[in-house]
Amino acid sequence: MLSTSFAGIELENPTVLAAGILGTSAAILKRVADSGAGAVTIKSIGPKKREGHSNPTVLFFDSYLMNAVGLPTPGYRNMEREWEELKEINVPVIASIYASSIEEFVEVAQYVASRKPDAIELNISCPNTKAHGMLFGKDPSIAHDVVSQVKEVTNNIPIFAKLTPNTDRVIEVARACEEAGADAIVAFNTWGPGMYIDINTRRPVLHYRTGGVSGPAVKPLVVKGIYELYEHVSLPILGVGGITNGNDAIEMIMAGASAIGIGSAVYYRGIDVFKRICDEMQGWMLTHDYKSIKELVGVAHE
Amino acid sequence: MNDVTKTYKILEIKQETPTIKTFTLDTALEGTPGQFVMVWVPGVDEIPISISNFDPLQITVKEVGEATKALHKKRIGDYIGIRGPYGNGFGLVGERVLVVGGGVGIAPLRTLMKNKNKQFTVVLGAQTKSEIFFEEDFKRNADVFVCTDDGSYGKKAFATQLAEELIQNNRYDMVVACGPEIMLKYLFGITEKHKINAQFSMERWMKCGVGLCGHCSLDPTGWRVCKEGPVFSSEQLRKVTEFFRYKRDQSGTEVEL
Repeated sequence: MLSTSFAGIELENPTVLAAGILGTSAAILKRVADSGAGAVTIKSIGPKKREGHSNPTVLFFDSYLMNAVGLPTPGYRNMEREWEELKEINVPVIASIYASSIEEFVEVAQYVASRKPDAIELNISCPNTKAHGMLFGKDPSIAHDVVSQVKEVTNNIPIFAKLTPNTDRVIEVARACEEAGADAIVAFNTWGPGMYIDINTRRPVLHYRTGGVSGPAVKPLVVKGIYELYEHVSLPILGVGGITNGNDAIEMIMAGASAIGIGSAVYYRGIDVFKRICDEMQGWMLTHDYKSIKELVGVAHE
Repeated sequence: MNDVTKTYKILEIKQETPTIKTFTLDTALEGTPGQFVMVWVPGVDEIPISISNFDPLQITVKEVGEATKALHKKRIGDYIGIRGPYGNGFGLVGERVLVVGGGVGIAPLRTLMKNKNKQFTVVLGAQTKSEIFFEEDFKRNADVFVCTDDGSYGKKAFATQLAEELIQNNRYDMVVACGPEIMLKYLFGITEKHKINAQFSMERWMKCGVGLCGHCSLDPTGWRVCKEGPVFSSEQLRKVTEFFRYKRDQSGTEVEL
């Protein structure tokens, strides 16, 4: 009932562990897979070892989270044990990568492709560092070049472009990625960024001062963003942002997502949130007489 | 929800040893001995620190790095951020409990002493006399044995050696411990040899503190120290192959212990 395919990858269910959540080692990714995720994403891998920002890196509120972790990574050359152990994971594994130039994207993607993940996600949308990320995802021609050059060195591994919502050129960027040969769109990375100031000490609490906003509060923005993308690009869309229960997931799929990313919900509902969301989706589908999740993709447009 | 970082005034600061201070904060928490809080030192860092008293909240901190150094410079009336309590604490079973604390690892063990239904024997170990603290607090509810590496106070021994002597000559239902990982490594060898159940408080680099980022997850089980830990039982310690061998640094790179 929940099984589907996304960009040519067979999924037992449409829930995907979003990048940057729990994805730091093969061991925890395996645990997430065992907790019912349809696919898992490795935390963004960069060109060389990087510590990321000092704490506080994540702030927690009733209806949203704010984070500026700052892309910590051992660097792609420094993860031998993880690459080996990733083979033991029995759901598709998506490798998220980031870089600070197109050349570096190509370098990282070429190596990562040699380790044969089921897909590579290009993080061209992180709002939390100066040199990486969002800069690539705000300009359609740069996004195009990143995708097309990465495609040349990654054989037939599906390439996902993870978009930032923080530009008025979202549709143009998505179209540029499509023209460049991307196999799917991941929409979206975190929003803002925002800021939280502690009034007693009169200081921003995040060490980086600003951070991307995620969680239930951004869900209506994501639903609308995906609704628009669905009308303008034909690539499959992985919908990410604020999904915490089965109804949210169904809503996102009706807007046009073929699969859904789960991130902040791990905080709100625990590591077994994947199975719980799947059970809830299934319950809704039974009540409303749907036999396959595929029947629901984009139905809000009819 | 106690996860929103809130700042509280420091009401009192006590110098416990030349390198360790206890900070009393203008708030109270409810929780289990062995749990920790994320402590924000504004503008510097946020770090996990075990709770040395719940009501009022006290944290007992050794000056070891940038954040703890900045914390040691704080004065009464300054604000620091607190969220938590987090993680799983100690779950005492049986009546006779051997408690082993090494260095600043002594701090969270004091909260166990509120439990009046147990018979506690406590081993406090430090490098030298001036680094022993909380001894009087423990003595109110436990038999206390002190040792120092240099023999300047109590017995000249490591805490692990003193613990093994006690285990050989007495019957304990369980051993609980907090201290440097090298101490826990040898102590685990001892509790396994003598077939006594143990619970140890473990440490790994933490970022979020609530089980979301995955940075403190362990090989090969994927348990998160901040969520499934920081206290692990013998049964769990046997399964975590990285304990006593390696850990991951701030970037996520493996480093030998």
